[in-house]
Order: sequence, then C-alpha cells, then structure tokens
Amino acid sequence: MKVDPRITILFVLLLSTFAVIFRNPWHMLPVLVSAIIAVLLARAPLLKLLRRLRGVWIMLIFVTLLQTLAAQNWLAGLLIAATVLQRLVILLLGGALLASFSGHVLVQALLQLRMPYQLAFMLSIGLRFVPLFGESFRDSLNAMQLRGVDLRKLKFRTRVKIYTWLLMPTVASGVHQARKLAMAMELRGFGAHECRTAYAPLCMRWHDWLALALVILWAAGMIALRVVL
Amino acid sequence: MIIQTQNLCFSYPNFALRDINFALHAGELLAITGANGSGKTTLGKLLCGLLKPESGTVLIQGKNTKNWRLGQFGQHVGYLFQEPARQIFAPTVLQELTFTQELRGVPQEESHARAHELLARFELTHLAEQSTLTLSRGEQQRLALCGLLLNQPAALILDEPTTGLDPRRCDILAQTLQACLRADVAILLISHDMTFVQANATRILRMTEGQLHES
Repeated sequence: MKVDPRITILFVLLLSTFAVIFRNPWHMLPVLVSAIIAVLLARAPLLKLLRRLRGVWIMLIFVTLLQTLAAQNWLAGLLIAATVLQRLVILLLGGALLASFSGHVLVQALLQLRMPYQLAFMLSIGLRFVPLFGESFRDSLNAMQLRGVDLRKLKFRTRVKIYTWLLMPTVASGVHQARKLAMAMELRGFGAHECRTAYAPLCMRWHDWLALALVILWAAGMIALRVVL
Repeated sequence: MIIQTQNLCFSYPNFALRDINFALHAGELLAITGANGSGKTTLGKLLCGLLKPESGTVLIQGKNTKNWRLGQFGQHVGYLFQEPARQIFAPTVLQELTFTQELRGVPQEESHARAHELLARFELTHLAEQSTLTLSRGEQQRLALCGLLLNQPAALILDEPTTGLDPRRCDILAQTLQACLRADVAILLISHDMTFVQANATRILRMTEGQLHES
C-alpha cells in the first residue's frame, strides 16, 4: 500500500533537515535507521539507485577519508567521518524514497501543496535531466578515448584537466536540450491558460492520515532525543 | 586488411545484428546504407569499441580487439559521431586539435603546424581562436573530422558525415576522403546521402534488419 506522495515529501524534508542539523553521529543513527525502514517499506528502487550512483560511492569514501585525516586525532576524525557518511546516506535514501514515485505524481503532489505549476514542473524536469547529464558525460569520455587518449596512462594532473574539459560538452548539451525542450513546450502552448485541472488529483485516505500522524510523532521523537541526549 | 569482422552478433531487446562478415581494406571506401534503425550506427559502434559484441570478432589490422580498451581503438580507428558536439571538448578550436597531439608527446610547434594545415583545408582558419561553443553544426562536423585526421588513423568510421554540410563543404569532404584513400586509409561511410555515396564509395553494402547484403 503506497503512502500519499505529500506525506513522503514531508518525511524526506524532515529527514534532510535532521541530517543537516544533527552533528552527533549517535543522534543521526536513529534518523538513518528510520530512513532505511521507510525505504524498505516503500519498496523504493534502492538497488537501482545505488547502481546508478556508483561514482557517488567513490566520492563518499573520499569525503569520509578526507574528514578523518583533517581531524585533530583519529577518534574525533572517525566520529566526524561517521557523521558525514550518515548524512550523505540519509540524503541518498531520501532521494530513493522520492524516486519511488513517477514524475507526474510528484508534480501533482507539489501542486496540491500549493507550489506554482511552473516551478513544480521545472523540478520534475530537472530530476529527469540528471541521468541525461550522466549519459552525456559518459559519451564525451568515450569520445575522448576514441581520439586515442588512454586515460589510464595519463598523469593525475592531466587527467583532472581533461575531466574539467569534459564538463563543457556535458553542460553545453544540457543547456541545448533544455532550450529545445522549452521551445517545444512553448510551441505546444505551455502556460497559455492559468487555470489547470488534474486528471487524477491526490486524495488522503485513512492510512495516509495514519502515516502523517506517525511522521509527526517520529519527528517529535527525534527532536526529543536530540534535546535529551 | 584494416578491419575484418567474423560472425559478429549483437542484440538490443527488440533488434539484433546477425552474422556480420565483411572486410575493409586499406585505400577502400566502403559505404553502408540502409533504412533508419537497420543497425548501421550499431555496427559502427561495434567496430570502434563503443559497443562490445555478444559473439564473433572484430579484427583491426589483424589483431583481435576483444580485450582492447577504448583508448587502444582510438589509436587505430577514428570514429565520427552522428552528433559531433559530443566529441568536441577543448575551450578553443585550435586547442581542440592540439591537445591530443600534445598528450601523445608531439612537440607544440609540430602539433600547431599540423592543426593549422587541417584548419586551412576545412576552411576553419578564421575560427582558430574562437570558442568551440559558438560553432554551427557544420563547423562542429568539420572540426571533429579534423581532430580525427590529426591522429592519422588506419581507418575512419564516419557516421552520416554530410549532415549539416552545404554542397561546397560536401565537395571539400569528398576531396579530403579521396586524399585519405590515396594515403591508404580505410574508410567506412555510414550514410543516407546516396548522391555522396555513389560518387565516392568504392563498394556499397546495404543493411537490412540487422543483416548486411551486397548492394
């Protein structure tokens, strides 16, 4: 049984807020556990997301190591690293929860939360552009290697320079695609009428109200935990 | 023989290339024509290592490419994408041509001289210091081709190279390809432009539903 996306959005917002404001790994742990339980209950496409974000894991490990090394002693470093790692994982799990809904359902939820249509639509399109950016970057990387550049044999500094160059065609292609999309939307009369109706408006059912109550109780519990501990 | 395929097979969920066997010789321009979605671009990508075959082999200059990295393919084969913007990286036109040369250890003076020679041949000299972001599609196409030619590959795979070119630039492209042929470069041309194909190809093959036929 799926929970109303508005409740999920509220839960993800609270998750992200706690992940950002909590600075102690022991405070963060129950937030992380709650996020994992929520992802399992929502049957969110976690594995798919993890596979897609393989590169992000390398970054997570890198950031964690950097935090450990930057601290005054190894124990303090480890605690900071644990906090940073938990924070990033919670944000990723929040993303996975939102990814369990299709784009148009999320737009509908945002609209019913009184967000202006153009802004909600822009957000959903933005989410759709993320994998396109990845694809475009991979294409450019392949094209670069097809010019006879063996990246493995290059010095680290040269490789970094090349990666920064690769961002250019990726961003340019993203901007180009966005422009084409905007033109196509204009040609199809996007925003011509201010009044919009929805084919399938979202309705709160009893289990959604129950989920809302649980989310509020959970948030209160987390704040209490933060104050007490 | 520069490129040879032996029983090459590859499949997508709703489409398959089956038993592709052909050879591309030095100084030959082999054109592959066929309807949209017939598998021409897929074949081109298999030959340059962008896709890995499910079965069968691709031999380049007699060597099995099964375990080659993309960089190794790039040292033998130049591949011109259908969308040239994807293979242009550097901030300026001149840098676009010189950076791969410099990475390979070619002295700056030599790489600049070779780049300017190609820019002149493709009428891009006036754009040498210009940003690559402001080029038109035709200019991008010509610049990408210059980048490939600078590497002096043994084979060129060109996917729809005449798209976006006016008739005069098509003539320049034809002259360049003929010069490459004289230098014993093997060229595989994937194109719908039958006028260009018939005027320049030494052999034409037709791709129909994932299979190659003599045209």
